Amino acid sequence: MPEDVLEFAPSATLSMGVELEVQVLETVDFNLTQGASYLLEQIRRAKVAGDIKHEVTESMVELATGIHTRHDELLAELGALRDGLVAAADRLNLAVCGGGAHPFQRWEERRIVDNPRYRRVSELYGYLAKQFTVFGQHVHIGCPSGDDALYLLHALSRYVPHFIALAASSPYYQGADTRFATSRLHVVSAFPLAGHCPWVTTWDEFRAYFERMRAVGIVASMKDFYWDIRPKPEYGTIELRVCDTPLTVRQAAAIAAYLQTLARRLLRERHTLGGPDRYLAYAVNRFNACRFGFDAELIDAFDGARCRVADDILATVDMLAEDAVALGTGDALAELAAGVRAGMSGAGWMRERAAGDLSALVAAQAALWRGDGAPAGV
Amino acid sequence: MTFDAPMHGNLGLPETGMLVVAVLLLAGALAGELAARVRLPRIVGYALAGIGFGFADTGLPMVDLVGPARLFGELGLGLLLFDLGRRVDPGWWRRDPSLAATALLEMGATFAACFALLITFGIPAPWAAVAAAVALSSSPAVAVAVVRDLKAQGQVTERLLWLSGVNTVAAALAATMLLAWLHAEYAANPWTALLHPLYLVAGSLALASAIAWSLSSGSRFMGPGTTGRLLGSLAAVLLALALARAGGLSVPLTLIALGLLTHMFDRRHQRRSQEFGETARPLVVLFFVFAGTGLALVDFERYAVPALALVAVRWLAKWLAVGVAARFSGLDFRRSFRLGLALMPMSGLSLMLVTDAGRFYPEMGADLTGILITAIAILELLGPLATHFALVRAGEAAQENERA
Repeated sequence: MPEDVLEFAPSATLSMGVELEVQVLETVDFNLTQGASYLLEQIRRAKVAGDIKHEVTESMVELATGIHTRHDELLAELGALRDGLVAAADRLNLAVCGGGAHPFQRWEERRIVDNPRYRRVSELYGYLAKQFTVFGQHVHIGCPSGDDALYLLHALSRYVPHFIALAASSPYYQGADTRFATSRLHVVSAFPLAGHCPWVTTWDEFRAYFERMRAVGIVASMKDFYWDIRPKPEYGTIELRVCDTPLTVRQAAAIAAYLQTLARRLLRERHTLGGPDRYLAYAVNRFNACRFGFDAELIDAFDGARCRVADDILATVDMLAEDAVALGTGDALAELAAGVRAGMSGAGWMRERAAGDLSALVAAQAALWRGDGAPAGV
Repeated sequence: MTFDAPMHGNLGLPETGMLVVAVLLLAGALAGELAARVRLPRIVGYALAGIGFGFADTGLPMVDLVGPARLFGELGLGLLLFDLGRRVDPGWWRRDPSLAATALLEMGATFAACFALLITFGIPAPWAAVAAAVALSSSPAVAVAVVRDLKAQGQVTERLLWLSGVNTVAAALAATMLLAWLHAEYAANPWTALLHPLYLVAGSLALASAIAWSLSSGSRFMGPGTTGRLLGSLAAVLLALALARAGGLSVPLTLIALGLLTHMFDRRHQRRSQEFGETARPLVVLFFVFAGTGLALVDFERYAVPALALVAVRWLAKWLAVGVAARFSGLDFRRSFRLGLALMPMSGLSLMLVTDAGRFYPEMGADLTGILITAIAILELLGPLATHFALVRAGEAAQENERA
């Protein structure tokens, strides 16, 4: 029944889980290729533990971790999933890599996975479905209640540019340097229900909003919202969706740890959210973070103050010291901060490596994905 | 005012050659598009056009189909094999040993089946072995051309290209060695027996390595993946073709080795090349048309039975061996057998091996040559259909409106 569909199933506070969409490549030009089904079959046969599944096109697979409360355990599971995936790809003469978008693939060459849901998506969205061959990291954070989830969702909106900049790794798109740190998010923006969650602050209000949207036939389920942060009532989490899949699982785990630590602080301190004006500068800040990464200027919607994203991240990491000790995320945060101080991000690393040869860049991305030899920030 | 120059043209040999090329190219392209209209592989159209001209040739003596114009076709083969080398990573079997097992089983079964069959048709054992060696090769040219037309992607496609590459190298090596050895046997000079096969094989491989190494090293000065590199590749294929012919070496062996070795060097030094791809289409059309012309002279009445038997036995051996072995590589039951089906073609490259053999070693006998050429003629048409069908059914072809 509609009423009980949107119950918020509470989950362990500050538990976390990560989903990573990764690129499936051939090994000659390192273009995307049709390999997801073969890769998944190989993984099934090799009995790789963990959750690896299809995404919308045959050139992507999604890794999903279980539920974790500790960063080191999350990183270990991501490492094991990655190793299983890499081993399967090797046998099939395929490669896999991170990054928010493939630097030079042509979207019209992608093939939609043969299942009813994806065929429906393809039918409805036309070329957008194929253009949606972009690769994101989603992080879930467990919340004790629906009201807490909505508080956390709105409180985190101010930090969304941090996560965009920390994960940014799609400077190239369709063969061109976009001059953005991440080109991926603006692909997502093309969908009609993208953007941020409307200003509703209690679970009852949210449910009423959802029912209204469903009653007039705008949405059928929560899956139809492509928001930057959205509640996931059946998991009892909020899901941050703005991150590109980083170039390494280490960076992915560190970003999840940052979110977990920040969530602890926000749930502990209960800031006043200040009304819908909270989102006044949201779209501009989000754009700036996509375009300029760490160098973006953030505008405070309430007092008009400005600061660089890099400085704001470093200040936030300092502020979180106590929470980081409590959660055991100190090392992960220190590593993120080191990357920020060095001005190094996935996008920066990619621009350094590209040197006019995008095939060689993707080959280097695939090599980076295999191991842990990346510099801090990448 | 007077004109000293003659008012009538003069069709000398080069002019005729160009005319032949223009006519064959046009006819081939037209037949290819007609084939595509009725959902057949384009190369079946090219081959049919060629066979048509082959028949006409006997009535039109001034169209010299075996003249220098034929070199355009050989260049087309060279470009296809060069692109094949680019797609095939010979080291793949180390990451998936079952791939090597599949190749060995497939080649062993094909050789044994074809050899046994030819013996029962009364072909002397040494020559049956030569023919069985030629039969190993699954036309890599057809594989590349069909994959390209279908824009196929996936494991059946990749394994088809890899296995065709490997069994063609094996076929060229084995046939060349056996022939040279047999020839020396008849020559009754022990030194020739040793040196001639060595010269053919080592010479072809050395020539291919030298050109491949120069091309790959030289690409440092041309920048990655640029047109400069593409021009270099074209020059390399031309050079290999010219020197292999001039030195009396094996043209098929040299060409396939050039493609594989160039890209092996490239991979080792992380250099990048461009594929000829659609750029090579005119020469590829000519290759299949010329291969078709040679098949018109087939004596079907005489050789149909043994040739059909050879086609059937060869295909069964490949189909069963790959169908059984490929499952260990992680392909499902149906896809394994579709891969076996896709390996059916036999075409221009095998024809080159056979005609070379017939020309240099007349001892081979008209019967064996006749059987082989008839079998190739059948597979020239049937083979691409099998590969096309197998890739479409394996779900690896692009949707029809997105194909080449």
